[in-house]
Amino acid sequence: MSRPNDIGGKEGFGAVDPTAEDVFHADWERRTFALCTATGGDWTIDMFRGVRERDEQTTYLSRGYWENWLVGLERLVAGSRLAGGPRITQRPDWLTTMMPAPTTSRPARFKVGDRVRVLADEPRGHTRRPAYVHGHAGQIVADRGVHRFADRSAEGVIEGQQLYTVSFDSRELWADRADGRDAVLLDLWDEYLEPAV
Amino acid sequence: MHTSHKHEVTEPPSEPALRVKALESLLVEKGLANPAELDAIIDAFENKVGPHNGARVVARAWHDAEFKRWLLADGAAAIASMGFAGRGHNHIVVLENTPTVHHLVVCTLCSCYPWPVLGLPPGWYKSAPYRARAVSEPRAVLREFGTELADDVEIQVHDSTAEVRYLVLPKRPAGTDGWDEERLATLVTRNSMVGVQRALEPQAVGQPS
Repeated sequence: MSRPNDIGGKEGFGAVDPTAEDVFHADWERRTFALCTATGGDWTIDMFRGVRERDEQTTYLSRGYWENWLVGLERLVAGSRLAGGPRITQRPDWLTTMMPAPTTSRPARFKVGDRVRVLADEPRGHTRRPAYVHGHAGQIVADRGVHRFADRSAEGVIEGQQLYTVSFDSRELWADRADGRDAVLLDLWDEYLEPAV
Repeated sequence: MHTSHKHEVTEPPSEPALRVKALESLLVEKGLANPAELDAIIDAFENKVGPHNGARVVARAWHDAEFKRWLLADGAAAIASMGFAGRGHNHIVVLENTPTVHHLVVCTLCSCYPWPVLGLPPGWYKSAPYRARAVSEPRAVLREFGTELADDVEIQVHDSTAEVRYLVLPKRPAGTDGWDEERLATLVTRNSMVGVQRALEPQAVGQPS
């Protein structure tokens, strides 16, 4: 299943418009942002991302940024206790509350300096493993500790897993399209990786 | 607010403004949202949280070597010490631009961005061209922002795929010796902290060096 939001490296979108500054274009967009930020409950940010990724790419891209947020919240609320699903609540104050760190019993399989390859199989459901790194090899340059694993969190299971920053030579990812001087770095969970020989 | 009359007869529920109103009414009625709190969130992100926060962090790092060491070692803690924090932003990593390495930040999968120090992302950061091309042709993207790098500079593009958020510490411009933090902060733009441009030169803000 391809995800409409997974567009890293895709061609045909044209030039960036650096003058496109506006965060909001209309009051309903401000309201959507505030509602999404204030309303929480039994869902995680990964569920909120996951429900926005169910559409065809043309729909996702043409709908616009804040309407995608609105669609996400509508879908979460529709699936919530209001309709017999998970509980929704008012969230704690945005500026003062930190997220609790998740725990794990799963040992870290890699360390800084290791060469790793990203799994190439097509993930099911929500993932933070972009298609453009599937099957590609890189090197772990930082260990970020235990983080909530997004793929599982999108299904409502809170589970910690080691997260690493992996650096890929741009030629490894883009072949001759790339400039050989450059690198792309991604934060990838343990389960996304296998040892590279 | 703009109202589209042509849709009202045929498909009123598809009008986002009406849908947001309906959703807010439902959540308020159930006691799950509070209009005053929504107003406060909007006010915070339009008037309080923004790149001026990040500019103060960068200026302090330029001015205070001890703070810079802390910022690069534990970005979230050093930034929180200045009063900038936020839910879900436990992990902020600061990337230092050097004469040979230039950092650029993107989120190809959505729009992840270090809210406590930069606020909400501008339109171009969320746009398909930026998300698609920053990873595959960063030099072309930088040129679209008017930024040319020397031949011996390596670009490191950081795709924000997890909950780590990245802030670029731009190079301190020449000719700013002896400047205090407040004055240095006037040179630090949002774009320089995302990595699409450099910090401003003293002449650009009308200040003699």
